[in-house]
Amino acid sequence: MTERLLRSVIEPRNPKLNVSRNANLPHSPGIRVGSYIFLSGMGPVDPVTGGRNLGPIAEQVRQTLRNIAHMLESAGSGLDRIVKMIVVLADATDYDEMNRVWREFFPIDPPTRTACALQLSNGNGVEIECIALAGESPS
Amino acid sequence: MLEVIPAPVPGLDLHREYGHHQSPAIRAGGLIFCSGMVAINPETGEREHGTVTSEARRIFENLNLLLESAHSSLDRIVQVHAMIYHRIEYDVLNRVYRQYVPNTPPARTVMSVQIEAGFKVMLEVIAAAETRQAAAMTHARQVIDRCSSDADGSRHSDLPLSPAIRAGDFVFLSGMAAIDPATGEPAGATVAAETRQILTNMGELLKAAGSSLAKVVKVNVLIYSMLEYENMNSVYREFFPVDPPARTVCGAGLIGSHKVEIECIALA
Repeated sequence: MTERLLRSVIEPRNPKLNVSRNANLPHSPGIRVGSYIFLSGMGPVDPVTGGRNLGPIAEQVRQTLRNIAHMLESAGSGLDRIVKMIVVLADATDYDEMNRVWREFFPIDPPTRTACALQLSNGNGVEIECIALAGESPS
Repeated sequence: MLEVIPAPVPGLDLHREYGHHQSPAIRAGGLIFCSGMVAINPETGEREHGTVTSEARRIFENLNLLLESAHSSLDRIVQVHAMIYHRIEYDVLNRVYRQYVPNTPPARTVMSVQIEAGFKVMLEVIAAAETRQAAAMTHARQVIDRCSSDADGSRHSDLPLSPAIRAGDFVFLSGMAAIDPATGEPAGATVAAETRQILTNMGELLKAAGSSLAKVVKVNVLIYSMLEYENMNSVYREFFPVDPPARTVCGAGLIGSHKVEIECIALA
């Protein structure tokens, strides 16, 4: 028995966070296929202005994770359904500070994660992407 | 079930052409995991270095061949890691990229990394297969606990991450560095030794998650310098003797003093 596998685009409820549409970039905010949601790499975009929130790295990580939560919740999933994350830092020395914020958002059973340091643009200190299970969050 | 997608044309068999220990793509759990692709002539296997635009075109054309041979297509791509040699070419990449995914483009992360052989672009892709086995297992999200009784020292970190999570049809692993399971301390001084330690630990971790190295579908290798590619590859091939997983290798800044970091997705 096989079923046809659907592929659909995921968009944030808050249009200010739809970076690819606002800047006419060739990616979707996220794609759902089968049981999974794949989100594009996200940065510290301010949900009110749509501009960048380039404060201290802790605030950048916090803002980015809040945006990821919004994106997942817009698709009926949530932070507690993330299975895999990739964190790109512009500066490897921000690693400890990133971890500190990470614990605020994922106090128990955190997702799997790979971190590395790469060149980022627009002054972003961090960029984060994730794979999550689709479906309602239990909480 | 895990199925190797063979090279649709001879030149795209990078195992034969360049000794890369990887399958062109693996189909499993309704997804198609492709190895990182660079600009290769599909008939001759020759590397076609060019501009970001010409390399990206060649890659998309090859990707089209590969995905169609697996009954998928460019418009079924789910996620892309678009790797470029320098962030300054971001706009150049976007211009050519959008021509190949004009409608509902995939989720994407653009990364500036060191790419093999001096290429300027590499695309690493996950696509949706046409159909999915209705009888496939679907696990709820289950963390493979670092505190469980069989967890060794390599999993005892105080970092806010889980070593592995089983969810849906797959097991997802965090990026692993070379840690001695007996002491919990960094192990191995060379790329070869680190690779061996990581893949040994990875085998144990997958076993604890009810999977195994033989069920790995996709591997990402981060290495501090691509000049050490062969030192990694020579050890790597011992661990995947037949039908190796799809794989992407790139040079990137690693956290800490490690030279290699490896992550993977396996069938549950």
